[in-house]
Amino acid sequence: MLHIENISHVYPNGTRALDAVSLEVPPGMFGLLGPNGAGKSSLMRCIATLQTPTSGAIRFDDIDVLANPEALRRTLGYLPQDFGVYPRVSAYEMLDHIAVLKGYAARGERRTVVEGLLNQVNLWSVRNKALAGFSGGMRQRFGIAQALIGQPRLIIVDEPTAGLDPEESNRFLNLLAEIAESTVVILSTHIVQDVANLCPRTGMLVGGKIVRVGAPLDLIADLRGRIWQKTVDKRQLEAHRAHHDVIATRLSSGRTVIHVLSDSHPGDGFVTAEGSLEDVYFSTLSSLRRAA
Amino acid sequence: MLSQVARFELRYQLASPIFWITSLIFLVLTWTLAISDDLRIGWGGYVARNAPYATATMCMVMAIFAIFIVVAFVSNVILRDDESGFGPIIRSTRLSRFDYLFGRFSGAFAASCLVFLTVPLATLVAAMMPWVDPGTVGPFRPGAYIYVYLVLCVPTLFVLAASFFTLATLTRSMLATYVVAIVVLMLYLLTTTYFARAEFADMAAVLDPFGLSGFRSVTQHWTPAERNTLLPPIADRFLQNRILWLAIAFALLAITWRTFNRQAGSEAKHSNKKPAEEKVEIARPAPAAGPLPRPSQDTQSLGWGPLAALTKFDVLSVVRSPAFIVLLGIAFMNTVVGLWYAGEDSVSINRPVTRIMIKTLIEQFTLMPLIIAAYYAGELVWRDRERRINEIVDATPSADWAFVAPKIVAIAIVLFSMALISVGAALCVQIFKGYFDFELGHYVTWYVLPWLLNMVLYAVLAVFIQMLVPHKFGGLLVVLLVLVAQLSLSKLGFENNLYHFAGHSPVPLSDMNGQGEFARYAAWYRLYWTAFAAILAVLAYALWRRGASSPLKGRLQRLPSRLKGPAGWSIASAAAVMVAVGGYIFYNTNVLNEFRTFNDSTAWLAEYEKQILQLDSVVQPRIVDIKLNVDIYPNDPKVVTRGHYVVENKTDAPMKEVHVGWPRAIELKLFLGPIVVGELHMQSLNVRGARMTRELPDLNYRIYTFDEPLAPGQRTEIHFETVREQIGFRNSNNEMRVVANGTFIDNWQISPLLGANRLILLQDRTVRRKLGLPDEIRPPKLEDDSGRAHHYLRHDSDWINADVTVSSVADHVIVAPGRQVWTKVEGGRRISNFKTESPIQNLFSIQAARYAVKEEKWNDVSLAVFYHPPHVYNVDRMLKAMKASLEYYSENFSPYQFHQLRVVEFPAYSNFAQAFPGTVPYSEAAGFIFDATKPDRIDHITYVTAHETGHQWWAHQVIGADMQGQTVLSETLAQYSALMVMEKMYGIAEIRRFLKASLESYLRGRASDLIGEVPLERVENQAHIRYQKGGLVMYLLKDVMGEEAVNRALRALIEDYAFKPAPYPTSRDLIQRLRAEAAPEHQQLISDLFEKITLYDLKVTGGRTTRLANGKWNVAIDVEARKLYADEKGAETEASLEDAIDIGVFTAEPGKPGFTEDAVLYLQRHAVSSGKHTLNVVVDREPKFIGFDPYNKYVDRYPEDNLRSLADL
Repeated sequence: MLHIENISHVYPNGTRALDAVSLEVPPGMFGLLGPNGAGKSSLMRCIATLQTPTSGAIRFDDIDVLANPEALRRTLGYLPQDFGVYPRVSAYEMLDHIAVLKGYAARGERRTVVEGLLNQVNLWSVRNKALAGFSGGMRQRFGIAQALIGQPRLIIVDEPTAGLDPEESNRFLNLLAEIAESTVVILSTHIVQDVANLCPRTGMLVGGKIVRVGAPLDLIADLRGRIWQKTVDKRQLEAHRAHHDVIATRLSSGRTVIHVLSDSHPGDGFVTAEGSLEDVYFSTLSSLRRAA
Repeated sequence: MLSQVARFELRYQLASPIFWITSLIFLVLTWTLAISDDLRIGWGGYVARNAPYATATMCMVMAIFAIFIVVAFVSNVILRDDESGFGPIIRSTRLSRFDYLFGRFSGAFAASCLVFLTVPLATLVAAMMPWVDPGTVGPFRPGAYIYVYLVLCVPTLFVLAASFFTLATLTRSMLATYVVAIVVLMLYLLTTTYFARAEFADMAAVLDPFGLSGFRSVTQHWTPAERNTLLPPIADRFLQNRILWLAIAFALLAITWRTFNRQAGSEAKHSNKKPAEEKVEIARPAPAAGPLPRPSQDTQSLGWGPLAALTKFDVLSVVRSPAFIVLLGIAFMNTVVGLWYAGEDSVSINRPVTRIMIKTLIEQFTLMPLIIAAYYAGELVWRDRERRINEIVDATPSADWAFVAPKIVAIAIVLFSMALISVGAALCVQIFKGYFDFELGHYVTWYVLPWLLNMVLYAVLAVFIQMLVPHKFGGLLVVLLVLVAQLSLSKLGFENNLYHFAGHSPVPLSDMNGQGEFARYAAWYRLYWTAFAAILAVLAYALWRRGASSPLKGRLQRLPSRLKGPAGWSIASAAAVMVAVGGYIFYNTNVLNEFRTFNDSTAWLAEYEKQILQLDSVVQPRIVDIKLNVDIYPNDPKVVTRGHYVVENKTDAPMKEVHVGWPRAIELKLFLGPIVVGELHMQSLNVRGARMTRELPDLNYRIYTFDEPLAPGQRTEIHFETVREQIGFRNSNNEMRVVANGTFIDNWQISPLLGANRLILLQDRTVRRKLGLPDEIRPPKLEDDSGRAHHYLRHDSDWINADVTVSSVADHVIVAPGRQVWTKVEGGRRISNFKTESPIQNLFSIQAARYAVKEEKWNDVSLAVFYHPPHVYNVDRMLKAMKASLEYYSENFSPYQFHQLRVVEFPAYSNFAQAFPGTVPYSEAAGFIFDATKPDRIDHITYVTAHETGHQWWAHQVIGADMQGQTVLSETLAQYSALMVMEKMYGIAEIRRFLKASLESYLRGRASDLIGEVPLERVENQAHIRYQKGGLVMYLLKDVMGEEAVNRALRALIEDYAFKPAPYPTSRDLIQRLRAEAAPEHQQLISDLFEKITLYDLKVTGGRTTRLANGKWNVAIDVEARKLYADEKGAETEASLEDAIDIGVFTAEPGKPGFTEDAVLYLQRHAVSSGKHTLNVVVDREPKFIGFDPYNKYVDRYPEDNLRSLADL
């Protein structure tokens, strides 16, 4: 479906945001993981035709995205990481406006689409309220509604759950999961759990490079038996760091739980940990950090 | 702590690019204004460009614009923390509220002051530029710059800074601050236009926040000498003004400190906007879920449905914004006020005819809508980005036109509705003023359509500029710069409308002639610029920012590929239209006509003076008879004149040569306003008995040499045929004299002159120096009798007889000098013949239009008003004034020399009335639409009519020699004559108002005299002396000597000089006859009034009343009197005063409503000398006001202290 070949992007100030990124994205939901500043949004913008990469090629089915961005836009739904709203404009008016931009010329068909979507994302009751007064969750639901206008086959959602409370976040992801059945959905996020829960495939973008691609389960399987866990005191942490490949630490009841990557038992007090996508993610970051 | 905060703030501001950009803008702007020889802010004439007064004026005017500095630097110092989100951090420190607020304020205020330092610096530098005319530069006075900056400007900056700081900090809204800044500017424009009126002057002087009116109130009567040397004092009203505003500023700061709330920050601001509750009542059930349809439209093609929907969205986003409502409200208010006062000044009121309404709308409802158009163009272009919704809409499949086209259409719709609202306002004003002849068609074709097109052109330009400039505010600034550049370019001589965006040839309006052909000419320019705007619109589409970051470079690289297809074709066809129309315009303006700018005119005049004036010593024969056949083709427009002069050698020596010159197209700026002289083509020219021996073709001047010199007393004839014609159209100065309805030409414009034309020579010293002419060209001195050989109108004629036959289209009524001998319609043309019955000046008018005529008889004189049929309002009043004038003048001066007196209306292209023999052409704007029913105004119609009728004696019976004092015998005496008619008709009350206004304009006029002031007897081309001072002088003299004595002197003058050829009388001949009639004690007064520049300083310094035993009141009046003689630059020397001057006691204030003759308890002349005196007067009733020269008959620089209320003393 979506083929990304050797995309590089260098900003005018010299920042290399993307470095020879190649990626194959099949239908369904694809999770793009990466830390802050990894280049996720740059990649999303490139795919969404908002930014022309310095080099490389992007194809969606038979559309050459860079040569013919209009063709992709006809089948694209995009929810940017951060978006604002016009003042004094209601959800209905705004969706209607975007529906016009997406080619719904006739008033009647716009009405069907807008009302259907408002209902789908559960904003029907507040459709005449000014968007500016929406809460974060409502705003994100509005965001997905606008992305869905025009029956897109490619949907890009950039960090959609950042700042949402768990309930809203779940609501949103469920909505996303429904849609993903028939389309390509690229979900860019730094929240590993979201990807683990939703995405049959994932890729990890670090420092502008794709460092891992695969099904989360496969990736986790790769690590099986190599992740070790130990609960230590805070003052012991440095010593452990010195001796082991500590990929992640987290606090638990005031003590520190460390995860260590090791092919063999790392010794004293370590027990095997059930591998998770998070471990995959952190181990990848950790190995990159070491290499650097 | 305060100083640390302030220092930090200052460092912060100095490091920001906007500080340097703003400084640079102010430096360049001020420098440009100061270096210009055309704008002359505060200088000119004898006032040097670096005079303290000029520096002060320039800096104080720039201080108005400092409002932008203050808004940019000071207002947001606190708000910034809310916007950056840093506020809570700062406010949780130990920094005290006082230190925080005023530390920031002081730092930012210091930065503003530093920016404003560029203004005095730029004026200083401008005066030092090597190419500046040294004649306009005075001695360098460093102290003046420091004084102006510190004493005059910094307080204003402080007031502005404090106000906007308070505003922004308390409202927490930069939008509110911007809007108020614009409101203040607009209100300020209001105060300058309306509150500049004399009756509001005192109030404005105190209330003006920028202090300019206060400054004006202390300096308005300053002479050049004072302007060059004195520093404007902070005194009187100016002082009150400064105290008031500084107090307000400190009060505002105190309020900010008291009410500033630390906790209030971004949270507080947002907390009142709760997120919308999801559980809102469900008015309508949600639609059932189901599959959604696919979009039906191919998004890349244009469609009306989407265009309408998107346009509606954009229109709503403009009209819903509060700023729009406020801006529109101000524009509207301003317009209503403007419309209400349209055509009104302190002396007269015009009826609210549609033409005046439209003129006002075009003048006053343009800048603000233009700003709204430019501003909302920026808003709409940047809206998606500012609201961070651009990524969503940019990723939709809509074509780029969907972003550009609806925005332009939306702005056009908004503007159109504004135009309709403004028309509504005009109609309301007309209704309220009781005027019901609504010319809706004129509103549409004269105003709405051209106005809207102009606005839309600018909106497109603004959208396009926003595509190039990577910042909204920057883009708006560039649009404003374009506007300013347009204005200054034309000042600099770049006048071609082909490169003035949206420029077109002017379309003057007239009720008589409508838009004439002018709208058709302008339509070509409009088409040209519309094509250009179409190109800009397509380019804006092609350069549209789409996507995350789109630097201009990238978009320009993509441009060629984006222009493939329809976009490219549209550009190509628009460009083709532009080239074709531009070519056609160029063909008209530069091939069919010669393209001449104002600067070209000036340069030609300099050349004319250099070449021709040296030939002027050759004595010419004089014209004695004129016969003209004038064929007017008003629709071509064209005038063909065939005629001949009979000329005579009136000297006692034979003449070898005759010099013949004729008009060349030039543009002049005279006191009547800009004058356009049309080109005359000499088709044939023959001087009987002479051959052409020299031709100066560019100067329209030929020299003929007689085969046999013309013997003394011998006559010959000059035959000529001329054509005045406009083919095609011009960039400006299209034919305004020969028009379809309202042709008005005078014989100068269609027939030749013998010798040089002195009336067109350049007067302005700076311009003359620049063009290599001597500083001054002045008429002969009063002592130089050579001047008496000619009168001042023209040197080639004394008194002549004329026989004029005029033809025009059949429905025209034709008016020419003398009696209409016959008139007929032949071959579809009206032909009329006129002959003079007594000798006239060789200066007469020919008018032709579809007139209505009202005739009456006065003795054997037929009086007639020729008027545009709807302009019937004042016809009877004019006839009455003509009768009253003829009555008074023929009784007191001499019989009227003609059998007809006519007032003839001409289109409002010029605004004056002028006296030709027996005929007074009178602009439709200058009397025909005056509203004479207002009781508190001077009856301007009667005054003007009486003045022009007065010229039938003073100019058309007695005319002054062409030397100093030339116009005393015409303008001054016509002014006196009119005053006497007014006094007879309306009594002294009307005259008092008139004298007050005259005094005011004389004092203002002398302050900006171009050649230096002279005594009345030596007046040159100085309108304020010959009219205003002349009227004051003659009226005072009449008051002192008695009316009969003055009129006896005038009769004697007529007796000796009426209709006589050279030697012509001078002002001294008048003075001599006045002296003969005056008592010995009045001789000194005559000297002071005519032969010196005399200023009086008469004032009431105190007063007391005591009730006497017999019930009467004794009033003790303390007065102080001084008399001063001034030199040409206004330097004054004290002289001793011995005169009898009015002492008055009143129960009501003279000149104010409610004052009647009954209010005068006492009015007598008392002998006074220089110094302080106390005079006692006994009156019957309780006095309220006391006055020393209470009616302002004397020229007094401080006329307001002549009259005091006893309650104030």
